[in-house]
Amino acid sequence: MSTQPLNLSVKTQIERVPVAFEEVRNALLVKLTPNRSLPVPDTEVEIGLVLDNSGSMMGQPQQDLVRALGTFVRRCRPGDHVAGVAFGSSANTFHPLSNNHARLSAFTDLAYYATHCGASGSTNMEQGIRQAASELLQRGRSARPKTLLLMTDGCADKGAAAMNAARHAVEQGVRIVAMAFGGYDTEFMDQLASLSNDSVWDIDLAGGLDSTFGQRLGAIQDQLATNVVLEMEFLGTHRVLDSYTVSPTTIYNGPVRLGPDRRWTQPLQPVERSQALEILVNVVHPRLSLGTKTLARVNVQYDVPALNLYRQTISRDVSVEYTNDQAITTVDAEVKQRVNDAFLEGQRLRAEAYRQAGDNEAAAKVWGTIKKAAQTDELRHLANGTIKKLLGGQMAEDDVRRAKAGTQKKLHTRNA
Amino acid sequence: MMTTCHACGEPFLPGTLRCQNCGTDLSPLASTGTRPSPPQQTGSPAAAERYCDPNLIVHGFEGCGYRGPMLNDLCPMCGNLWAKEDSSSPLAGTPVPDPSAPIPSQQTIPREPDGLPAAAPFSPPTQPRTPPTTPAAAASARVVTPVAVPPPARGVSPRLVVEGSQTVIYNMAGQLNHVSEIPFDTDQISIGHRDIENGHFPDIDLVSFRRFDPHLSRRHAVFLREGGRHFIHVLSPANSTTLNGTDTLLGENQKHELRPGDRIFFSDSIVIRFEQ
Repeated sequence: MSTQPLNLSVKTQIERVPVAFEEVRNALLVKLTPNRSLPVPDTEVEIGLVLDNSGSMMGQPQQDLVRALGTFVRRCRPGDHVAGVAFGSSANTFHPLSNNHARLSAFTDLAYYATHCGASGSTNMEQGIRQAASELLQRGRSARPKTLLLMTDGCADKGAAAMNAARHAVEQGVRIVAMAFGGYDTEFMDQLASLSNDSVWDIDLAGGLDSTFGQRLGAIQDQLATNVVLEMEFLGTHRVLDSYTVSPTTIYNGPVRLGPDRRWTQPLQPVERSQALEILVNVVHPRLSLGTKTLARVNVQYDVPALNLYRQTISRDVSVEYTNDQAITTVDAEVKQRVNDAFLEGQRLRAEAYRQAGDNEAAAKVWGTIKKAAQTDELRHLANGTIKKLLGGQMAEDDVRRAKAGTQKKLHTRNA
Repeated sequence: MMTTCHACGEPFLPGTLRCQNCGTDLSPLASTGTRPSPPQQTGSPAAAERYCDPNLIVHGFEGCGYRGPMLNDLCPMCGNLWAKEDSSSPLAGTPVPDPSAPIPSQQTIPREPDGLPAAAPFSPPTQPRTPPTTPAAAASARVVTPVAVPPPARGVSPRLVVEGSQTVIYNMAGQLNHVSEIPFDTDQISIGHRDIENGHFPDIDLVSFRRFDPHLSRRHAVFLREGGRHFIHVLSPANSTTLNGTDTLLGENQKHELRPGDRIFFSDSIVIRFEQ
């Protein structure tokens, strides 16, 4: 029985590279799987709730929020330490960091929350983030993973300042999970979430505040490995194109920039106990001589706070064989599936770039390729609808978010 | 060196699983030329049978050829919108085609023996070919994406086919294209590798093979057409050119007549087959 909390496996889309071609495209799938046979106690976590209490939240949204807070408190475990910060024109810490959930549960009463949350007015997100991060860093323990659960329904007063606050928090080791609904700025929230290698969770599409809070809390409580860093050293003269996180959701990480030592380092999301974390890296093989060649050395560093294990490392080498085959005849089915997922998200980004540049026809054509590659009826219907709207010039912000949720697979609930 | 998508002609690197331009599955495990089986239909026996016509373009996307009961507004195979029953449409009242007849779109893509589809057939240019006159002009000639064109009818004019899913750079009206088929519609087609410094640009440019094969010459050979017959004329004594896989080198400055099916081996790099 393996005693490692995490298992690392690396596979290539093509294992036998024909020398007949000058260049061959390939994909590496790096998979981090939790070792379910190893008993691991619950991870104690610290969560900062950063709640929008601006004018637009008054009424039904605030009622929904308080109800969601109730669900959140009921699901908290004894080892979960929670802080609550509400922001409007300014920010107020209505619940200092503690695991006293009884005190927090007082705020699940609407009247009490409205009176005691202490914030209203505009959307000073910057102060909300700074205050919540400060609460976790000053009152929390360094060994516990820290996460801010940011919820908003609008646009930050000063976006740049809020982004800087978020960046500062992430640099201090605090993850940010961004949840939003209503008239929020999609691009801004995505950019903010990307600081923690995530994308924004659309509350409306994820089933409402209640459901989203519950899901995100569940994901945080489920953390097994934190501070996960992937390092890859590419040997030879391979071109490395870009990378995607393909599981649990599909997110484009961007182009891969190798250092002079041909190493690439990428911080990753935490690995949860119930599902694997998978990264896809696209590479191009040059034409080499026959034989087995090592393509890359993969190294993963991580912490497992629940077991008091820090800076653990696991490594793998990945090789391919150069052969005299005239064609590529076998492709790994699992990697192919992931490449298809990445293709869908990559094409969506291309289409979105066309749409923002005003070329709806080109965007519709790219969505046609998504329709062709889609493997679910849901995504095919979504693609058809998106094409119609693009050609009719009727693409609204809601449609953009729905499209994003479709290719990032966020229309579906988190896999258990 | 790139191959091209059999559906749209977009170049792609071997190993690419899906065409970014048209979404076609390019993997070696893709369809072998037959449509996948339609899903089991659970609709009532009386449900109207519909045909997702590949010749009908809806919102810019052609149908897939599927025929079966209509479940909703979308084709269950490709997700395209069903053709509306429009009396003004030329396809109004189109009966479901005979199931025994092959789907028209499947006949357009010839298959190579290795199971991979051939690239879209090359369409001859309408203007006469004019090679670049200066090195600068040639150096600025950009490689353009070949456009997928319908295949030529039977009894087609002679052509040169590059074997093994490879492509060569073909100089057409001053533009360079990656092709795997070249129509033999002129009296002379030169083959070799470019020499920019001396302003030499052959019609078929083997520059991408030259790096690994020193036996390819700048003026390697010329394909000739004389009086309805076709020849290959090897030019350089240093190169290595054989016919039909034999070890016998084709002699320098001699014309060797080509017969349909003849395969010319240009050193170890590339094989071009003459077809008629």
